[in-house]
Amino acid sequence: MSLEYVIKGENIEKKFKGFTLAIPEFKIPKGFATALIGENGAGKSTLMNILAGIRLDAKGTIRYFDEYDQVERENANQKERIGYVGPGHYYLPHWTVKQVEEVSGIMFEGFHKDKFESLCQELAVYGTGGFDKAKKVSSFSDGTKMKLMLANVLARDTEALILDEPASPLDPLMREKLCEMIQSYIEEGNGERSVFFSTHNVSDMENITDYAIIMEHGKIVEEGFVVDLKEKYILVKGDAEDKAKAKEVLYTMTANNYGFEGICLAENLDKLAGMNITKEIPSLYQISVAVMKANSMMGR
Amino acid sequence: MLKAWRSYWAFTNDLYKLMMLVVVPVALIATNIYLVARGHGDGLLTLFALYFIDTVSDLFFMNGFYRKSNSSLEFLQSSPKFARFVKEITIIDIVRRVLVYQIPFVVELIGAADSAEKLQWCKGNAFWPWLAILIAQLVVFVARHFVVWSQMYACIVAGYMVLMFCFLLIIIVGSGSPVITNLVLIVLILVMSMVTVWYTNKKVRESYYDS
Amino acid sequence: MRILQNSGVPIYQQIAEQMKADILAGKMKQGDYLPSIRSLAKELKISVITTMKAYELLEAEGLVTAAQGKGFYVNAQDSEMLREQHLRKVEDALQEAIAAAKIAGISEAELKQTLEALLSMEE
Repeated sequence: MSLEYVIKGENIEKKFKGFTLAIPEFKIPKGFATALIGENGAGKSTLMNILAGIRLDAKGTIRYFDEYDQVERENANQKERIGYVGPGHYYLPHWTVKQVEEVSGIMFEGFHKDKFESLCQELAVYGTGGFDKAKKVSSFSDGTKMKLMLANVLARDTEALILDEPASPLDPLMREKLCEMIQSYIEEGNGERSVFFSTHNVSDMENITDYAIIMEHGKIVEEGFVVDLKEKYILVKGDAEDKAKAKEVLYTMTANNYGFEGICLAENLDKLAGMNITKEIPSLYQISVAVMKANSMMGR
Repeated sequence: MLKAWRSYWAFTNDLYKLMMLVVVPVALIATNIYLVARGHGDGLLTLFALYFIDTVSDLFFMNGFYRKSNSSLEFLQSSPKFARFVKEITIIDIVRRVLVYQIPFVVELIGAADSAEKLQWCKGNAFWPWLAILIAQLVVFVARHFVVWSQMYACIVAGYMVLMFCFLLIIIVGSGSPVITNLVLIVLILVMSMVTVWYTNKKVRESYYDS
Repeated sequence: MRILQNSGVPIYQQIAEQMKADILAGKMKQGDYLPSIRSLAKELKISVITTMKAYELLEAEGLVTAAQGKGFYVNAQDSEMLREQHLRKVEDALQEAIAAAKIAGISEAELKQTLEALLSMEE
């Protein structure tokens, strides 16, 4: 499988007080949905801000669509081709939905007003109150604000989406819808469109995740295609008496009086020979938790 | 210029437009006519109104758009046209201030000049109120990058300093012919406008970096 | 097509097997194009990489061929080759049974008996 990359980064570094984001190599495969997973404070948002070009104070080189370099990041056209959605202060709070629509038309060439309006209807941005474009953005709940932002980026002609925690403020029904929208976006792109999103709701997003990047303390600790990760890590369950022996072999383990459960690297599976264990394919959620646990400072 | 107006129109909300383009100038003109008719007014009221109204309106209606610590820019920053957009609305904002504050200021000055001999000069030098307003608004722009409450003090202190500077200018330049004086004023107006746009743009670009 | 999330069989393998069954049963004919990778992913609500891997598996087995930029189409099914493939599968399974029998100390005669018993049960 020959891969192309939509964004490639090298030696990305950004220092804060007591925290350093340091990523020697970074790649987002083209034509796929890539998930960025990690603890709070792992540096996910900082990384996404850097990639979206709304934070330009990081070191390193970033290349977009194999065309634009970081030098051009501030005003280059790649921003026209990337849709960014963030959980922070995205719009000016005094704006109304109408202003969002008008400013979008000015700020982005490929913004379609009619598409924006139909998306707002589809996502029920206006709620049950009917079509009210005079509503202020600051009066919206986090969930509604997220819907508005999604409608906004999806109404544009883009080739990549950078979505920072899109699922968090949404209810289960909307999360399902979000997954559908991401899949439609990628399908319509026919290999030319990519989505990069960060999430804590790994289970909800697992079915659409092609590639996963797991971060801890400003570093990437694991990455790969989900199908490959599911072969690299194996979920094993065993009896209580093998607990101590298993602990030495397993990548992460939880045990109680009745038995143990843990994630084992496939290459170490032989070392469990002779134990009465069952093997399962772990979910991406289980893999993520294991990798995060193994690399976390929490409780150390 | 039409595009810039379009940007400005989209960027500001209806309440802001109503307040800043209609209510404030009408109220200021009415107040000034009233004061002048009573023999008061000294050219300070409009300038202080400008400091106060523009600082408050920026914080209140625009979430302190020009503040360095403004954190609500992510959407705009994600566009390749961010810098151009800000430049456009800054220029229109300058034009707006001149248009809106010019008439009340002139009304006030004419009234003041009639009562005070030393301001007689203003009548022959049409561009002077324009310059005063531009200087005043640069002060507003710079002061915006201070903390909210110190902004008010900074505006008042800076306001006096600007006026003193203007009076000094009147004494130095005003002794020459009105033609030269007006030319000097036009140059100063251009410089002030450019400095304001440049300064705002610089501050906006800083928003891409750590504050 | 049915996909079981926790069956122990990777999803891409489930898809490949069901497609293979469709092809072998003649539901998909020679030259037919498989649904595009991304539309199948969307349809089944699974990731793109999963369908991609399923198709790659089918390609490796010689059932389909990838056409540059056009997707995957079904190959002519060589019945001789298919028989060969199935035979190999049978051999593999029997080999495994023999190995297990050795570990358990089951004699050759006993093993044959077991096979015959199982065959008669099938009938």
